[in-house]
Amino acid sequence: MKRRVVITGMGWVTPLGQDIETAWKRLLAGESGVAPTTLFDAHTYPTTFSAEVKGFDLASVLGEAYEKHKTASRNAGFALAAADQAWRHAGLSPADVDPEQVGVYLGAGEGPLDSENFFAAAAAGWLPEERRLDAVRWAEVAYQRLSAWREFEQEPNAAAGHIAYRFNARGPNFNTLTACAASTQALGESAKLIERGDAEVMISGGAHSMIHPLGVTGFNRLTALSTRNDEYQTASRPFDSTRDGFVLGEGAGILILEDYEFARRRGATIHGFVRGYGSTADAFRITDIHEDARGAIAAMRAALDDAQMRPEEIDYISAHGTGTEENDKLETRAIRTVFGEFAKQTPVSSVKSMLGHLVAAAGAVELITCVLAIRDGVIPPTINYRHPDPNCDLDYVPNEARPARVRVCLSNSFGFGGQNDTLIVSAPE
Amino acid sequence: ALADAGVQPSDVDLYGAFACGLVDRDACEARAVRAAFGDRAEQLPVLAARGGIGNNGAGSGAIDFIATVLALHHNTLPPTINGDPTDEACGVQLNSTGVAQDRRIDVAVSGAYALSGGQNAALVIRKFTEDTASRKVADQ
Repeated sequence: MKRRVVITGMGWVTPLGQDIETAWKRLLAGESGVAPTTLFDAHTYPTTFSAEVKGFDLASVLGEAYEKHKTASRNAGFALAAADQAWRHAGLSPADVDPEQVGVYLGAGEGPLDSENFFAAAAAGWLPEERRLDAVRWAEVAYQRLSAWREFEQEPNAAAGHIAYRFNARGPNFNTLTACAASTQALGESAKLIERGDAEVMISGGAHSMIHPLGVTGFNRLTALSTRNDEYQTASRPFDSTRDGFVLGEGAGILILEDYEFARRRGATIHGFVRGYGSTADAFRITDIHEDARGAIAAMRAALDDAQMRPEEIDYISAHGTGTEENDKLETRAIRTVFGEFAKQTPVSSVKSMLGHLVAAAGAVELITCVLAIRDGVIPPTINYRHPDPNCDLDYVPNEARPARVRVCLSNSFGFGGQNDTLIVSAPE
Repeated sequence: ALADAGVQPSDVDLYGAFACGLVDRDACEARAVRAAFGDRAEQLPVLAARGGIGNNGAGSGAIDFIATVLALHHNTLPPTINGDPTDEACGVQLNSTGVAQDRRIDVAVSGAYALSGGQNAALVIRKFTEDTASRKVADQ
Protein backbone atom coordinates (compact mmCIF):
# COMPACT_ATOMS: atom_id res chain seq x y z
CA MET A 1 0.00 0.00 0.00
CA LYS A 2 1.59 3.26 -1.16
CA ARG A 3 2.19 5.86 1.53
CA ARG A 4 0.21 9.02 0.86
CA VAL A 5 1.88 12.42 0.72
CA VAL A 6 0.23 15.60 2.01
CA ILE A 7 0.95 19.31 1.99
CA THR A 8 0.91 20.84 5.45
CA GLY A 9 2.56 24.23 4.95
CA MET A 10 3.37 26.79 2.25
CA GLY A 11 5.33 30.00 1.94
CA TRP A 12 6.69 32.21 -0.79
CA VAL A 13 8.60 35.33 -1.76
CA THR A 14 7.30 36.71 -5.06
CA PRO A 15 7.23 39.84 -7.21
CA LEU A 16 3.64 40.39 -5.98
CA GLY A 17 4.30 39.96 -2.30
CA GLN A 18 6.24 38.14 0.38
CA ASP A 19 3.47 36.26 2.14
CA ILE A 20 0.81 33.86 0.89
CA GLU A 21 -2.33 35.98 1.25
CA THR A 22 -0.90 39.28 -0.08
CA ALA A 23 0.42 37.82 -3.31
CA TRP A 24 -2.58 35.50 -3.83
CA LYS A 25 -5.01 38.42 -3.51
CA ARG A 26 -3.03 40.38 -6.08
CA LEU A 27 -2.89 37.38 -8.42
CA LEU A 28 -6.66 37.03 -8.24
CA ALA A 29 -6.96 40.77 -8.95
CA GLY A 30 -4.92 40.25 -12.13
CA GLU A 31 -2.09 42.54 -11.02
CA SER A 32 1.33 42.60 -12.64
CA GLY A 33 4.59 42.45 -10.71
CA VAL A 34 6.59 43.67 -13.73
CA ALA A 35 8.47 46.99 -13.68
CA PRO A 36 11.71 48.55 -14.95
CA THR A 37 14.71 46.63 -13.63
CA THR A 38 16.41 48.19 -10.61
CA LEU A 39 18.73 45.40 -9.38
CA PHE A 40 21.31 46.47 -11.96
CA ASP A 41 21.51 49.17 -14.62
CA ALA A 42 19.73 47.47 -17.51
CA HIS A 43 19.07 50.47 -19.73
CA THR A 44 21.49 49.31 -22.47
CA TYR A 45 20.08 45.78 -22.62
CA PRO A 46 17.48 44.61 -25.15
CA THR A 47 15.18 44.02 -22.16
CA THR A 48 15.08 46.74 -19.52
CA PHE A 49 12.30 45.35 -17.29
CA SER A 50 11.67 42.34 -15.05
CA ALA A 51 9.54 41.10 -12.15
CA GLU A 52 11.64 41.83 -9.08
CA VAL A 53 10.92 41.01 -5.48
CA LYS A 54 10.52 44.45 -3.91
CA GLY A 55 12.15 45.45 -0.65
CA PHE A 56 13.32 42.03 0.54
CA ASP A 57 15.01 42.14 3.96
CA LEU A 58 16.19 38.80 5.32
CA ALA A 59 17.18 40.31 8.67
CA SER A 60 13.64 41.38 9.44
CA VAL A 61 12.35 37.90 8.52
CA LEU A 62 14.86 35.90 10.57
CA GLY A 63 15.39 38.23 13.54
CA GLU A 64 17.99 36.73 15.90
CA ALA A 65 18.64 33.86 13.53
CA TYR A 66 19.86 36.28 10.85
CA GLU A 67 23.39 36.16 12.29
CA LYS A 68 23.70 32.52 11.21
CA HIS A 69 22.50 33.18 7.67
CA LYS A 70 23.70 36.71 6.94
CA THR A 71 26.07 35.60 4.17
CA ALA A 72 23.26 33.90 2.24
CA SER A 73 23.00 35.08 -1.34
CA ARG A 74 19.76 36.61 -2.61
CA ASN A 75 18.12 33.38 -3.75
CA ALA A 76 19.07 31.48 -0.58
CA GLY A 77 17.61 34.38 1.40
CA PHE A 78 14.36 34.01 -0.54
CA ALA A 79 14.38 30.27 0.19
CA LEU A 80 14.93 30.86 3.92
CA ALA A 81 12.11 33.40 4.13
CA ALA A 82 9.70 31.14 2.22
CA ALA A 83 10.72 28.14 4.34
CA ASP A 84 10.10 30.16 7.50
CA GLN A 85 6.51 30.84 6.42
CA ALA A 86 5.94 27.24 5.37
CA TRP A 87 7.38 25.76 8.57
CA ARG A 88 5.22 28.04 10.74
CA HIS A 89 2.19 27.34 8.56
CA ALA A 90 2.74 23.63 9.12
CA GLY A 91 2.88 24.19 12.86
CA LEU A 92 5.94 21.97 13.24
CA SER A 93 8.11 22.18 16.29
CA PRO A 94 11.37 20.31 17.02
CA ALA A 95 9.57 18.04 19.48
CA ASP A 96 7.31 16.75 16.70
CA VAL A 97 9.88 14.94 14.65
CA ASP A 98 13.26 13.18 14.65
CA PRO A 99 15.68 15.53 12.80
CA GLU A 100 16.91 12.64 10.65
CA GLN A 101 13.36 12.22 9.36
CA VAL A 102 13.25 15.81 8.06
CA GLY A 103 14.79 16.21 4.61
CA VAL A 104 15.27 19.04 2.16
CA TYR A 105 14.90 18.84 -1.59
CA LEU A 106 15.08 22.10 -3.49
CA GLY A 107 15.10 23.14 -7.09
CA ALA A 108 17.30 26.12 -6.35
CA GLY A 109 19.36 28.09 -8.77
CA GLU A 110 22.88 29.33 -8.37
CA GLY A 111 23.29 32.53 -6.39
CA PRO A 112 23.91 35.73 -8.32
CA LEU A 113 27.44 36.18 -9.62
CA ASP A 114 29.45 38.92 -7.94
CA SER A 115 29.24 40.82 -11.22
CA GLU A 116 30.80 44.04 -9.99
CA ASN A 117 34.06 42.48 -8.87
CA PHE A 118 34.16 39.84 -11.59
CA PHE A 119 33.78 42.46 -14.31
CA ALA A 120 36.26 44.82 -12.59
CA ALA A 121 38.85 42.03 -12.78
CA ALA A 122 37.96 41.38 -16.42
CA ALA A 123 38.24 45.10 -17.24
CA ALA A 124 41.60 45.30 -15.45
CA GLY A 125 42.94 42.33 -17.44
CA TRP A 126 41.55 43.29 -20.85
CA LEU A 127 44.15 44.21 -23.50
CA PRO A 128 42.11 46.26 -26.01
CA GLU A 129 44.68 46.40 -28.86
CA GLU A 130 45.21 42.64 -28.77
CA ARG A 131 41.54 41.96 -27.99
CA ARG A 132 42.38 39.37 -25.39
CA LEU A 133 42.47 38.87 -21.66
CA ASP A 134 45.74 38.99 -19.73
CA ALA A 135 44.93 36.06 -17.49
CA VAL A 136 47.69 36.82 -14.98
CA ARG A 137 46.46 40.39 -14.47
CA TRP A 138 42.86 39.13 -14.28
CA ALA A 139 43.83 36.64 -11.60
CA GLU A 140 45.72 39.27 -9.55
CA VAL A 141 42.77 41.62 -9.44
CA ALA A 142 40.20 38.82 -9.02
CA TYR A 143 42.18 37.39 -6.10
CA GLN A 144 42.08 40.76 -4.35
CA ARG A 145 38.46 41.59 -5.07
CA LEU A 146 36.45 38.35 -5.04
CA SER A 147 35.20 37.01 -1.73
CA ALA A 148 35.57 33.34 -0.83
CA TRP A 149 32.33 33.46 1.11
CA ARG A 150 30.49 34.79 -1.89
CA GLU A 151 31.77 31.83 -3.93
CA PHE A 152 30.50 29.28 -1.38
CA GLU A 153 27.18 31.04 -1.07
CA GLN A 154 26.76 31.09 -4.82
CA GLU A 155 26.84 27.29 -5.08
CA PRO A 156 23.45 25.77 -5.97
CA ASN A 157 23.44 23.58 -2.88
CA ALA A 158 23.85 26.55 -0.51
CA ALA A 159 20.13 27.22 -0.10
CA ALA A 160 19.48 23.60 0.89
CA GLY A 161 22.35 23.82 3.35
CA HIS A 162 20.98 27.01 4.94
CA ILE A 163 17.53 25.48 5.29
CA ALA A 164 18.96 22.34 6.90
CA TYR A 165 20.84 24.55 9.38
CA ARG A 166 17.80 26.69 10.19
CA PHE A 167 15.43 23.78 10.82
CA ASN A 168 17.90 21.16 12.06
CA ALA A 169 16.88 19.04 9.08
CA ARG A 170 19.39 16.18 9.10
CA GLY A 171 17.65 13.86 6.68
CA PRO A 172 18.31 13.54 2.94
CA ASN A 173 19.41 16.83 1.43
CA PHE A 174 19.33 17.49 -2.29
CA ASN A 175 19.33 20.21 -4.84
CA THR A 176 18.44 19.96 -8.48
CA LEU A 177 19.16 22.73 -10.92
CA THR A 178 17.15 21.56 -13.92
CA ALA A 179 16.32 25.10 -14.95
CA CYS A 180 12.64 25.92 -15.29
CA ALA A 181 11.58 22.41 -14.25
CA ALA A 182 13.69 22.33 -11.10
CA SER A 183 11.26 22.97 -8.26
CA THR A 184 8.50 20.83 -9.76
CA GLN A 185 11.06 18.06 -9.97
CA ALA A 186 12.19 18.72 -6.39
CA LEU A 187 8.61 18.50 -5.11
CA GLY A 188 7.89 15.34 -7.09
CA GLU A 189 11.07 13.66 -5.92
CA SER A 190 10.31 14.73 -2.33
CA ALA A 191 6.93 13.02 -2.59
CA LYS A 192 8.60 9.84 -3.90
CA LEU A 193 11.15 10.01 -1.11
CA ILE A 194 8.35 10.15 1.49
CA GLU A 195 6.49 7.35 -0.32
CA ARG A 196 9.45 5.02 -0.02
CA GLY A 197 9.90 5.87 3.64
CA ASP A 198 13.18 7.79 3.53
CA ALA A 199 11.74 10.76 5.45
CA GLU A 200 8.53 11.75 7.24
CA VAL A 201 8.80 15.46 6.43
CA MET A 202 10.32 17.19 3.42
CA ILE A 203 11.00 20.90 3.09
CA SER A 204 10.73 21.30 -0.66
CA GLY A 205 10.33 23.84 -3.43
CA GLY A 206 12.70 26.23 -5.13
CA ALA A 207 14.40 29.60 -5.26
CA HIS A 208 16.10 31.60 -7.99
CA SER A 209 17.32 35.06 -8.80
CA MET A 210 18.68 35.61 -12.31
CA ILE A 211 17.91 39.30 -12.67
CA HIS A 212 21.55 40.24 -13.15
CA PRO A 213 23.83 41.07 -16.11
CA LEU A 214 24.75 37.47 -16.94
CA GLY A 215 21.22 36.13 -16.56
CA VAL A 216 19.63 38.80 -18.73
CA THR A 217 22.44 38.64 -21.32
CA GLY A 218 22.03 34.90 -21.66
CA PHE A 219 18.28 34.95 -22.13
CA ASN A 220 18.42 38.00 -24.42
CA ARG A 221 20.99 36.28 -26.63
CA LEU A 222 18.66 33.31 -26.86
CA THR A 223 15.89 35.78 -27.83
CA ALA A 224 13.82 34.21 -25.09
CA LEU A 225 12.85 37.44 -23.32
CA SER A 226 10.15 39.90 -24.28
CA THR A 227 11.61 43.22 -25.38
CA ARG A 228 8.43 45.29 -24.98
CA ASN A 229 10.25 47.92 -22.94
CA ASP A 230 7.57 50.56 -23.56
CA GLU A 231 4.68 48.38 -22.41
CA TYR A 232 6.33 46.23 -19.77
CA GLN A 233 3.21 45.61 -17.70
CA THR A 234 1.54 43.84 -20.63
CA ALA A 235 4.71 42.20 -21.95
CA SER A 236 4.07 38.82 -20.35
CA ARG A 237 1.22 37.54 -22.50
CA PRO A 238 1.14 33.74 -22.53
CA PHE A 239 -0.85 32.12 -25.34
CA ASP A 240 -1.60 35.50 -26.96
CA SER A 241 -0.75 35.62 -30.69
CA THR A 242 1.42 38.74 -30.16
CA ARG A 243 3.54 37.22 -27.39
CA ASP A 244 7.27 37.85 -27.82
CA GLY A 245 8.97 35.97 -25.00
CA PHE A 246 8.98 35.61 -21.26
CA VAL A 247 9.56 38.17 -18.52
CA LEU A 248 12.28 37.31 -16.05
CA GLY A 249 11.10 37.11 -12.43
CA GLU A 250 12.72 35.97 -9.18
CA GLY A 251 11.64 34.54 -5.86
CA ALA A 252 11.03 31.34 -3.91
CA GLY A 253 8.24 28.93 -3.06
CA ILE A 254 8.51 26.33 -0.30
CA LEU A 255 6.02 23.63 0.71
CA ILE A 256 6.15 21.22 3.64
CA LEU A 257 5.32 17.71 2.46
CA GLU A 258 4.62 14.94 4.96
CA ASP A 259 3.67 11.35 5.18
CA TYR A 260 -0.11 11.40 5.64
CA GLU A 261 -0.17 9.15 8.71
CA PHE A 262 2.60 11.13 10.37
CA ALA A 263 0.75 14.39 9.69
CA ARG A 264 -2.50 13.00 11.07
CA ARG A 265 -0.88 11.66 14.23
CA ARG A 266 0.58 15.04 15.09
CA GLY A 267 -2.71 16.81 14.34
CA ALA A 268 -1.46 18.80 11.35
CA THR A 269 -3.86 20.65 9.08
CA ILE A 270 -3.77 19.10 5.64
CA HIS A 271 -3.98 21.50 2.71
CA GLY A 272 -3.82 18.98 -0.11
CA PHE A 273 -2.55 15.65 -1.39
CA VAL A 274 0.29 15.17 -3.85
CA ARG A 275 -1.33 12.59 -6.10
CA GLY A 276 0.96 12.17 -9.06
CA TYR A 277 4.32 13.05 -10.57
CA GLY A 278 5.77 12.56 -14.03
CA SER A 279 9.31 13.39 -15.17
CA THR A 280 10.70 13.02 -18.69
CA ALA A 281 13.25 14.41 -21.11
CA ASP A 282 12.87 15.59 -24.71
CA ALA A 283 16.26 14.18 -25.69
CA PHE A 284 16.62 17.01 -28.20
CA ARG A 285 18.53 20.30 -28.73
CA ILE A 286 18.84 21.90 -25.34
CA THR A 287 17.35 25.26 -26.29
CA ASP A 288 14.31 23.98 -28.16
CA ILE A 289 11.27 21.90 -27.42
CA HIS A 290 10.77 18.86 -29.63
CA GLU A 291 8.13 19.79 -32.23
CA ASP A 292 5.92 16.84 -31.27
CA ALA A 293 5.95 18.01 -27.64
CA ARG A 294 6.74 14.38 -26.89
CA GLY A 295 8.40 15.08 -23.55
CA ALA A 296 5.51 17.19 -22.24
CA ILE A 297 2.96 14.62 -23.39
CA ALA A 298 4.87 11.84 -21.68
CA ALA A 299 5.27 13.81 -18.44
CA MET A 300 1.56 14.58 -18.18
CA ARG A 301 0.63 10.98 -18.96
CA ALA A 302 3.13 9.71 -16.42
CA ALA A 303 1.70 11.99 -13.74
CA LEU A 304 -1.86 10.90 -14.52
CA ASP A 305 -0.74 7.25 -14.44
CA ASP A 306 1.03 7.77 -11.14
CA ALA A 307 -2.12 9.39 -9.75
CA GLN A 308 -4.29 6.69 -11.32
CA MET A 309 -6.47 9.46 -12.68
CA ARG A 310 -8.03 10.26 -16.02
CA PRO A 311 -7.63 13.62 -17.80
CA GLU A 312 -11.29 14.51 -17.29
CA GLU A 313 -10.75 14.50 -13.52
CA ILE A 314 -8.46 17.53 -13.76
CA ASP A 315 -10.30 20.78 -12.89
CA TYR A 316 -7.45 23.19 -13.64
CA ILE A 317 -4.12 23.08 -15.48
CA SER A 318 -1.47 25.47 -14.24
CA ALA A 319 0.49 25.79 -17.46
CA HIS A 320 4.20 26.29 -17.83
CA GLY A 321 2.92 29.08 -20.09
CA THR A 322 6.07 31.21 -20.38
CA GLY A 323 4.85 33.46 -23.20
CA THR A 324 7.38 32.23 -25.76
CA GLU A 325 6.14 31.43 -29.24
CA GLU A 326 7.41 27.87 -28.95
CA ASN A 327 6.35 26.85 -25.46
CA ASP A 328 2.81 28.09 -25.58
CA LYS A 329 2.13 26.50 -28.98
CA LEU A 330 3.71 23.17 -28.06
CA GLU A 331 2.29 23.02 -24.55
CA THR A 332 -1.15 23.56 -26.09
CA ARG A 333 -0.44 20.74 -28.54
CA ALA A 334 0.61 18.50 -25.65
CA ILE A 335 -2.52 19.28 -23.61
CA ARG A 336 -4.75 18.60 -26.61
CA THR A 337 -3.01 15.27 -27.18
CA VAL A 338 -3.24 14.12 -23.58
CA PHE A 339 -6.70 15.50 -22.79
CA GLY A 340 -8.29 14.77 -26.18
CA GLU A 341 -12.00 15.64 -26.15
CA PHE A 342 -11.63 17.07 -22.63
CA ALA A 343 -8.94 19.61 -23.56
CA LYS A 344 -11.32 22.43 -24.46
CA GLN A 345 -13.35 22.12 -21.30
CA THR A 346 -10.35 22.15 -18.93
CA PRO A 347 -9.34 25.66 -17.82
CA VAL A 348 -5.66 26.42 -18.35
CA SER A 349 -3.90 29.51 -17.06
CA SER A 350 -0.41 30.88 -16.58
CA VAL A 351 0.42 32.99 -13.55
CA LYS A 352 3.66 33.85 -15.33
CA SER A 353 1.51 36.53 -16.98
CA MET A 354 1.61 38.31 -13.60
CA LEU A 355 4.70 37.02 -11.77
CA GLY A 356 7.01 36.62 -14.71
CA HIS A 357 9.15 33.49 -14.92
CA LEU A 358 10.76 32.58 -11.60
CA VAL A 359 12.91 29.99 -13.44
CA ALA A 360 13.91 27.32 -10.91
CA ALA A 361 11.34 28.62 -8.39
CA ALA A 362 8.44 28.74 -10.87
CA GLY A 363 7.18 25.20 -10.29
CA ALA A 364 6.92 25.57 -6.51
CA VAL A 365 5.18 28.94 -6.68
CA GLU A 366 2.77 27.60 -9.27
CA LEU A 367 2.00 24.52 -7.18
CA ILE A 368 1.11 26.81 -4.28
CA THR A 369 -1.35 28.67 -6.54
CA CYS A 370 -2.95 25.28 -7.30
CA VAL A 371 -3.42 24.54 -3.58
CA LEU A 372 -4.91 28.01 -3.11
CA ALA A 373 -7.20 27.58 -6.13
CA ILE A 374 -8.52 24.40 -4.50
CA ARG A 375 -8.88 26.10 -1.13
CA ASP A 376 -10.78 29.15 -2.41
CA GLY A 377 -12.59 27.67 -5.41
CA VAL A 378 -11.14 30.24 -7.82
CA ILE A 379 -8.77 29.99 -10.77
CA PRO A 380 -6.13 32.72 -11.30
CA PRO A 381 -6.22 34.34 -14.75
CA THR A 382 -3.86 34.58 -17.67
CA ILE A 383 -3.67 38.36 -17.96
CA ASN A 384 -2.66 40.45 -20.99
CA TYR A 385 -4.67 38.10 -23.22
CA ARG A 386 -6.16 40.13 -26.09
CA HIS A 387 -5.38 38.42 -29.40
CA PRO A 388 -6.31 34.75 -29.67
CA ASP A 389 -3.83 32.55 -31.50
CA PRO A 390 -5.27 29.81 -33.73
CA ASN A 391 -2.43 27.54 -32.53
CA CYS A 392 -3.49 28.13 -28.93
CA ASP A 393 -7.18 27.40 -28.82
CA LEU A 394 -7.87 26.29 -25.27
CA ASP A 395 -9.66 28.09 -22.43
CA TYR A 396 -6.89 30.17 -20.85
CA VAL A 397 -9.09 31.93 -18.23
CA PRO A 398 -8.40 35.27 -19.89
CA ASN A 399 -7.77 38.39 -17.82
CA GLU A 400 -10.11 37.71 -14.89
CA ALA A 401 -10.01 35.19 -12.08
CA ARG A 402 -12.83 32.67 -12.32
CA PRO A 403 -14.76 31.11 -9.44
CA ALA A 404 -14.93 27.37 -10.05
CA ARG A 405 -15.14 24.07 -8.25
CA VAL A 406 -11.50 23.01 -8.12
CA ARG A 407 -10.70 19.62 -6.59
CA VAL A 408 -7.75 18.45 -8.67
CA CYS A 409 -5.01 20.48 -10.39
CA LEU A 410 -2.24 19.56 -12.78
CA SER A 411 0.88 21.74 -12.94
CA ASN A 412 3.48 21.71 -15.71
CA SER A 413 7.09 22.86 -15.73
CA PHE A 414 9.31 22.42 -18.76
CA GLY A 415 12.98 23.40 -18.73
CA PHE A 416 15.61 24.55 -21.21
CA GLY A 417 17.58 21.35 -21.58
CA GLY A 418 14.41 19.39 -22.27
CA GLN A 419 13.31 18.35 -18.79
CA ASN A 420 9.54 18.06 -18.43
CA ASP A 421 7.87 17.68 -15.05
CA THR A 422 4.24 17.48 -14.04
CA LEU A 423 2.58 17.32 -10.63
CA ILE A 424 -1.01 16.57 -9.70
CA VAL A 425 -2.46 17.80 -6.40
CA SER A 426 -5.93 17.30 -4.96
CA ALA A 427 -8.11 18.73 -2.22
CA PRO A 428 -7.75 17.69 1.41
CA GLU A 429 -10.48 15.23 2.22
CA ALA B 1 23.85 3.37 4.03
CA LEU B 2 24.99 0.34 6.05
CA ALA B 3 21.51 0.04 7.58
CA ASP B 4 19.91 0.37 4.15
CA ALA B 5 22.18 -2.40 2.82
CA GLY B 6 21.76 -4.67 5.83
CA VAL B 7 25.58 -4.76 6.13
CA GLN B 8 27.62 -4.77 9.34
CA PRO B 9 30.79 -2.70 9.65
CA SER B 10 32.71 -5.94 10.11
CA ASP B 11 31.52 -7.07 6.65
CA VAL B 12 33.15 -4.13 4.89
CA ASP B 13 36.43 -4.73 3.04
CA LEU B 14 37.15 -1.25 1.71
CA TYR B 15 36.26 2.38 2.36
CA GLY B 16 36.49 4.74 -0.63
CA ALA B 17 37.29 8.13 0.87
CA PHE B 18 36.59 11.61 -0.43
CA ALA B 19 39.69 12.97 1.40
CA CYS B 20 40.74 16.01 -0.65
CA GLY B 21 43.78 17.00 1.41
CA LEU B 22 42.28 19.67 3.66
CA VAL B 23 43.73 19.42 7.18
CA ASP B 24 40.47 19.62 9.11
CA ARG B 25 38.23 17.90 6.61
CA ASP B 26 40.38 14.80 6.21
CA ALA B 27 40.67 14.48 10.01
CA CYS B 28 36.90 14.86 10.27
CA GLU B 29 36.30 12.15 7.68
CA ALA B 30 38.68 9.84 9.55
CA ARG B 31 36.70 10.51 12.74
CA ALA B 32 33.49 9.66 10.92
CA VAL B 33 35.01 6.39 9.68
CA ARG B 34 36.08 5.44 13.23
CA ALA B 35 32.64 6.29 14.58
CA ALA B 36 30.77 4.42 11.84
CA PHE B 37 33.00 1.35 11.71
CA GLY B 38 34.01 1.06 15.37
CA ASP B 39 36.46 -1.82 15.94
CA ARG B 40 36.64 -2.53 12.21
CA ALA B 41 38.05 0.93 11.48
CA GLU B 42 41.59 0.14 12.63
CA GLN B 43 42.12 -2.54 9.96
CA LEU B 44 39.79 -1.18 7.28
CA PRO B 45 41.66 -0.54 4.00
CA VAL B 46 41.03 2.92 2.57
CA LEU B 47 41.13 4.05 -1.04
CA ALA B 48 42.07 7.73 -1.29
CA ALA B 49 42.55 8.79 -4.90
CA ARG B 50 42.62 12.59 -4.79
CA GLY B 51 46.44 12.65 -4.75
CA GLY B 52 46.42 11.58 -8.37
CA ILE B 53 43.22 13.12 -9.71
CA GLY B 54 42.65 16.23 -7.59
CA ASN B 55 39.27 17.45 -6.41
CA ASN B 56 36.80 16.89 -9.24
CA GLY B 57 34.05 19.01 -7.73
CA ALA B 58 30.56 17.66 -8.25
CA GLY B 59 32.08 14.85 -10.33
CA SER B 60 34.13 13.50 -7.42
CA GLY B 61 31.43 11.26 -6.01
CA ALA B 62 30.84 9.48 -9.30
CA ILE B 63 34.55 9.16 -10.06
CA ASP B 64 35.29 7.81 -6.58
CA PHE B 65 32.38 5.39 -6.83
CA ILE B 66 33.71 4.02 -10.10
CA ALA B 67 37.21 3.70 -8.62
CA THR B 68 35.75 1.84 -5.62
CA VAL B 69 33.78 -0.50 -7.89
CA LEU B 70 36.91 -1.20 -9.95
CA ALA B 71 38.91 -1.89 -6.79
CA LEU B 72 36.20 -4.32 -5.70
CA HIS B 73 35.94 -5.90 -9.15
CA HIS B 74 39.72 -6.43 -9.49
CA ASN B 75 40.37 -7.16 -5.79
CA THR B 76 42.99 -4.43 -5.80
CA LEU B 77 43.72 -1.48 -3.53
CA PRO B 78 45.28 1.39 -5.52
CA PRO B 79 48.04 3.33 -3.73
CA THR B 80 47.52 6.71 -2.15
CA ILE B 81 50.33 8.91 -3.45
CA ASN B 82 52.06 12.05 -2.08
CA GLY B 83 53.07 12.74 1.49
CA ASP B 84 53.57 10.63 4.53
CA PRO B 85 50.23 9.16 5.60
CA THR B 86 50.96 8.78 9.30
CA ASP B 87 48.89 11.67 10.64
CA GLU B 88 47.65 10.34 13.98
CA ALA B 89 44.59 12.50 13.78
CA CYS B 90 43.60 10.39 10.78
CA GLY B 91 45.01 6.98 11.54
CA VAL B 92 43.47 5.24 8.53
CA GLN B 93 44.85 2.27 6.60
CA LEU B 94 46.04 3.77 3.36
CA ASN B 95 48.06 1.84 0.83
CA SER B 96 51.26 3.88 0.99
CA THR B 97 53.50 1.37 -0.82
CA GLY B 98 53.31 3.26 -4.07
CA VAL B 99 51.96 0.23 -5.96
CA ALA B 100 48.58 -1.43 -6.16
CA GLN B 101 48.07 -4.22 -3.63
CA ASP B 102 46.02 -7.38 -3.99
CA ARG B 103 43.11 -7.39 -1.56
CA ARG B 104 40.01 -9.52 -1.34
CA ILE B 105 37.20 -6.97 -1.61
CA ASP B 106 33.60 -8.17 -1.62
CA VAL B 107 31.87 -5.25 0.10
CA ALA B 108 32.87 -1.59 -0.10
CA VAL B 109 31.55 1.76 1.08
CA SER B 110 32.05 4.95 -0.96
CA GLY B 111 31.56 8.32 0.74
CA ALA B 112 31.16 11.87 -0.60
CA TYR B 113 30.84 15.05 1.41
CA ALA B 114 30.10 18.59 0.19
CA LEU B 115 32.88 21.08 0.94
CA SER B 116 30.21 23.72 1.49
CA GLY B 117 26.51 23.19 2.14
CA GLY B 118 26.77 20.24 4.52
CA GLN B 119 25.44 17.45 2.29
CA ASN B 120 26.73 13.90 2.97
CA ALA B 121 26.17 10.76 0.93
CA ALA B 122 27.39 7.17 1.18
CA LEU B 123 26.89 4.12 -1.00
CA VAL B 124 27.42 0.45 -0.19
CA ILE B 125 28.55 -1.86 -3.00
CA ARG B 126 28.58 -5.63 -2.89
CA LYS B 127 30.42 -7.76 -5.42
CA PHE B 128 28.09 -9.54 -7.79
CA THR B 129 28.37 -13.30 -7.69
CA GLU B 130 25.84 -16.06 -8.30
CA ASP B 131 25.62 -16.33 -4.50
CA THR B 132 24.76 -12.69 -3.94
CA ALA B 133 22.29 -12.76 -6.81
CA SER B 134 20.39 -15.70 -5.42
CA ARG B 135 20.63 -14.42 -1.84
CA LYS B 136 18.96 -11.16 -2.86
CA VAL B 137 16.11 -13.06 -4.47
CA ALA B 138 15.69 -15.18 -1.33
CA ASP B 139 15.58 -12.03 0.87
CA GLN B 140 12.71 -10.72 -1.21
